[in-house]
Amino acid sequence: MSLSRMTVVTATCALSVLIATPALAQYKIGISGAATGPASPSYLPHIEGFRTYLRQLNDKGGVNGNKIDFVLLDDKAAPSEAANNAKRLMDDDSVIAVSLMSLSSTYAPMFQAASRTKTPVLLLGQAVCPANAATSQMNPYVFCGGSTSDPNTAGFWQVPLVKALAEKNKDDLKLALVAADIPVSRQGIDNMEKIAGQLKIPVVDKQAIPPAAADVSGAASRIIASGANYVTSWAPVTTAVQMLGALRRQGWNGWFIHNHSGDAEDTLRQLKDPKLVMSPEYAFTVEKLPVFAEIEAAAKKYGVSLPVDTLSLGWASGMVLEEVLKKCGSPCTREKLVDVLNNISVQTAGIYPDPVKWTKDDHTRPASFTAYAWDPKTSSVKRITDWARVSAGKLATVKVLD
Amino acid sequence: MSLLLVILIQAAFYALLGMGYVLIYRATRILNLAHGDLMVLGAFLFFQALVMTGGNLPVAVAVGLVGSAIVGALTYFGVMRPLAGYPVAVGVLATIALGIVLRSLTTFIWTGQTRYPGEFLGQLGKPIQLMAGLSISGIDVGIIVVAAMAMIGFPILLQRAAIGVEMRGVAENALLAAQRGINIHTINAVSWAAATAMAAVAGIFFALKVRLGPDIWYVGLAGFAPALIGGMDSLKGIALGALIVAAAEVLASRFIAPQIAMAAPFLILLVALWIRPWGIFGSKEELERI
Repeated sequence: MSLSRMTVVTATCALSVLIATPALAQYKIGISGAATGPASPSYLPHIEGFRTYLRQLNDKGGVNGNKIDFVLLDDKAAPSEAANNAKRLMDDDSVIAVSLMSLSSTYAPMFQAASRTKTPVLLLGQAVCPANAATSQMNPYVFCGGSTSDPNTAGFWQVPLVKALAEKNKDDLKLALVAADIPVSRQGIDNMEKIAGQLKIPVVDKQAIPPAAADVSGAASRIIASGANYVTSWAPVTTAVQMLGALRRQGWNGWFIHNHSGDAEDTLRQLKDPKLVMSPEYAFTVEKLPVFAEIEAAAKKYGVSLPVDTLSLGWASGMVLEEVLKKCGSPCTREKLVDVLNNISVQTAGIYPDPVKWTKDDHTRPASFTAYAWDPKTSSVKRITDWARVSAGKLATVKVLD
Repeated sequence: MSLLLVILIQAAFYALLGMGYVLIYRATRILNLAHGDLMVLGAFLFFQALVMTGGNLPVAVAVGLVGSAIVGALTYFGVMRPLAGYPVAVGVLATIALGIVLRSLTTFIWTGQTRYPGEFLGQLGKPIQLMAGLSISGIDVGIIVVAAMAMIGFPILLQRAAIGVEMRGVAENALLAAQRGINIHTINAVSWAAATAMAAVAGIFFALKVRLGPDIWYVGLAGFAPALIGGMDSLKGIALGALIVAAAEVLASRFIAPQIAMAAPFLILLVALWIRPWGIFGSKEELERI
């Protein structure tokens, strides 16, 4: 009888403790990205890298003692899907922030929802920064933490890079510009055309390729007919590689300078084309930073079978989010989070050479660029220029390494 | 001259793709909208074998083709056969669902990483100089040769081989064929197997030429326009349909803009549908039956 009473008392006490203990606090974060569809090769690895970082962070106890509950939704790089995701994440799931990792065509519905619900949107992974990010027209809830600077900034590095390579090779430079037929990419090559004009580089052809084109041989033949010996693209890597392949198959032997993508290093390694140059704003694994070993270990632990270099941008995005949440404290509201985002600087262990830094007036990330190519002598990817800090409106100084 | 060569290569690729649509349509009157995803699966089977054998191209091609043929036959028995007797639209919807399932499956197994199996080709991937200003890569030669072989081989098979005669019989009148003792389900499964193997051929070529990833399923849809223009139930129509589509794309891309190139084949398709909705070599009555 007494034992039974003891059991009841114990059970009641235990129940009281359970009821009195608040549920484990969580930061609810939404991820909307191109996990499937034609653009997914450029974005899915970053989503995986980001998830891997958050998983290991949760396993270590989370941030400020809170776990991160991330809701991942696929937008297939389609604006209509992005609109649905925005509604679900911001209205139904009440996330405190959304990480957007997708094509720029998905931005409008997401940004509109961000303004309406006052939810911060972090452009992460490879997401391109809108051209107005450093102006007063920028949506106050959107922050650029992705690897791709706005199209105006990138051109001030990439066109001087083309010129420097042509000078080093003593080539009579004739340039063709290639974009994917999406607004931000077209804007990128329009800007490059202007910069080429400033540098007196003859632009002999300019093309925007539909992202879903099954074949670009006709477009490639036009580039060859134009006499271009250098092609530069500001586009998803799939567009660039498709064009490069079509050019090579028709016997073109010129240089192809692409901006970059999250799988740029992997692409160089697989294609082994010594005249294909990637010019990223982040470090490739050939730089042998300690963080790459960390990513490799985490990928192994969580069964992620993608190459480390394709995961690093997502990993850096996770580092940014961790720091932001740390500063936001607990509980963290959307309003508090926006305040934190407007005044933060985060180091990403060298993945980005500069800190990811935002202020109230500037939601861009300071950008430094470099260039890598395949070196047939060492059978490895090699950095071929120094790093250079680049800002819109100022031509970069490119130093090509020997 | 080089432009003609580009058109020819492109047409050959579209013919390979379109043939899969026609083979299934002839047999089952189903427009297989999972063709692109079956193409991707075949290319991944090839790629997996290529990696596992350290780059043994013939073995990898065999694995890709045989594996795809098995998948095609299983698709018929597992997905399409239970839908026999339902309206054609149900079958078409089933292929859409099948495509989505296959897409998820390939992403799950092989991840979203972009692969470039062309690196295994060595010299085959390099351009061959034919004459001044005219070159062609080994892989493009392969596309033309295989497409030509298929364009010649399939009609001969249908005319001469017993299985081909049975396939024609089932395509013309399944009920009569069944009454004559032909196992129509086996014949339909063979058609699905052959069509899926053709999808794999196109997928392997695309992977070797451009890239491989679960996202390239949309390339498979490029075979749809040539098949419709040539006639959905006509193998000989494919060659002409593919040439028309390829020429429209390449010329629009070369002389107008790449954006127009995407639309050009479909503009031609619209015109073709107004004038001759059953396609250049298609059967009028078959279309009416739909």
